[in-house]
Amino acid sequence: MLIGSFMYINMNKEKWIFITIIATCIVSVALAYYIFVIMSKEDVALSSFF
Amino acid sequence: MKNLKNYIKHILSHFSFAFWGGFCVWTISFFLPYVILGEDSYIRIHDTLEGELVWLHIMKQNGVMHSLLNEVKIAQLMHGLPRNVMPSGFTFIANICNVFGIFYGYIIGQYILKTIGYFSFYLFIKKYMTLPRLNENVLVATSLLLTSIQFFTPFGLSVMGMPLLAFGFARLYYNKKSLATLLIFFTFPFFSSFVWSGIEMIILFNIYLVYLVIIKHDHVMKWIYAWMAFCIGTVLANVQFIYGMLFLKGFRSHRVAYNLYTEMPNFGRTISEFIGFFFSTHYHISIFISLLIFVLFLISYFGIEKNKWSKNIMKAIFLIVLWQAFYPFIEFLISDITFIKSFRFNRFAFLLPFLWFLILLISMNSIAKYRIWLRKTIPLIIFSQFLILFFSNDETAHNYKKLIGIDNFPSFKEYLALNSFSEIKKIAPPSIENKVISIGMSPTIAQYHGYSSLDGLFSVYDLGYKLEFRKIFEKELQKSNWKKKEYFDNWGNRCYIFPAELQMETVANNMCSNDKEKLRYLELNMEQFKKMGGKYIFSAAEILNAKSMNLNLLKRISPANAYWVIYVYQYE
Repeated sequence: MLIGSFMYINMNKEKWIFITIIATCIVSVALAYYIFVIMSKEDVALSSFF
Repeated sequence: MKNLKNYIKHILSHFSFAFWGGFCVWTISFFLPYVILGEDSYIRIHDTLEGELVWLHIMKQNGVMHSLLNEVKIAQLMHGLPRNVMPSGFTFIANICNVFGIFYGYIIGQYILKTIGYFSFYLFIKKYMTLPRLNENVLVATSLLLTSIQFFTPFGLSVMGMPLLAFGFARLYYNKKSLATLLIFFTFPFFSSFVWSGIEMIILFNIYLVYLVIIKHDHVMKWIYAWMAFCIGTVLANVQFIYGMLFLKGFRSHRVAYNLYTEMPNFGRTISEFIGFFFSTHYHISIFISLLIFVLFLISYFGIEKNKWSKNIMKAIFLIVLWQAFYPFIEFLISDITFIKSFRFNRFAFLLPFLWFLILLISMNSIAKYRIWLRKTIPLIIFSQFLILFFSNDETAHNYKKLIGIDNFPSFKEYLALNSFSEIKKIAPPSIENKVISIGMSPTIAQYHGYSSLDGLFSVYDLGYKLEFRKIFEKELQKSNWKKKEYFDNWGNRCYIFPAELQMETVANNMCSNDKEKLRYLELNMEQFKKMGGKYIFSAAEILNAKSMNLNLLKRISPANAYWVIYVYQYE
């Protein structure tokens, strides 16, 4: 996704950066939700993940 | 009086209306769950309820919080743990817990520490950063992000106070010599942890002084004054620990037997640790997921404008993470130097959350260059980062989940079994002579209730004692896999009984809660237990072969809605 965005950066930089930022926001939040909310359903200490 | 009024007016003029709005939001959102839930709130277990926080309670109960003498021992712990191997009693968090008790002290302390972070980060941004394209609301929202991060309150300002230290450094750099600057450096150690940031800050400070003198040939006196203020503050704040470390006689720390790397560390694992540290920092520092900020850095630096500060900060992050990831190699290669083994000089990661936030600000400033599309993404970036920090902040997330009734983690009251121990005290009254060990649950729970324990989690205790304690469950270690044996023998801060039938993480992950586990073949050396003064065993797992060890089950304690079912055994 990121590499693709940079490949087209010269064609329409602002648009591609915009799409990359939106996608990264979604992916990062989803990842955090998966790790900390879904995976931590058991009584497991936080440190066990890391 | 007029001067004071003018001074207060001058101070308040630094803060905007949006800043105070943010402060109100932060205050309400912080206290809301604690006010509603009270002692049913969640407080982190790892190294907090399981360790540091309860140590403060024990020191208060034993009246040794501020004692200075090396001869002072805490009779309740092991065979009399020297007070001076415990954390300092002169720090902010120790004293606030001393006054308000550990529950309220912890909450008030955390609020004050995060508020200091919020104020100092805002001041640092406003005074010493050039971010012309970001409006006031963005600066306030980014400062608020700092209050959302997960951090270990017992370690004080070690993470949260980095903007304050940066503010102090910036004042020195711009020649703003004043008592206030020196005061920042002097008081910081009283609010932070000697181990987690004190030693590391002094090392970094020394490197910078050498750089100034040898390379930059700069005027060095103002830095030396600040360095002295910091060092004097560090010594005074940690006088008990330093005095104990230098002059405690007849005591050999178990840390000298640390042997964490018995063979050359695996390179592949080091690389994966590097990636882990880079994208999630370190759990003792803060679970700080940096993926979004890293991508923003790549986009803004390579796609929009090359900001030299952003590049330099990224280099610093890279170096810190590299040092942290590859430190096992250093520790392995110089494992004969006890001092290095004991201190573990890999704790520079406390700088990372602040550095990541600086990159976030600089990147957003670059992104805001484009007015049509990209500027509109800034609120989304901040909101996304907030969500990431919210999810990864175990305390906030659990407390808000508790508010809506979907959380299954133990609250403060449940974890410390406040209801159960009123009953336990009737059948097995606490006394210094009748010592206790805990199985399947943290020994700090019994310690919190005034029991004298043979086991415990301590960062420093006597090596000789560790070897004696090992004899009690030697057979269990022989039956266990190598991992458990190495965990105790080569590290051993958790001086617990590790039954072979239970997983090593049993206590850390509360696996014995709600009567989930049973022990069928437990083999303890009861003669050694008796020799060390043992009388009771509090077990969260029923010991089915108790009779074979002359253990008499006094009672199964299980009040309604209790998190632990505690079996109280007495050695006959």
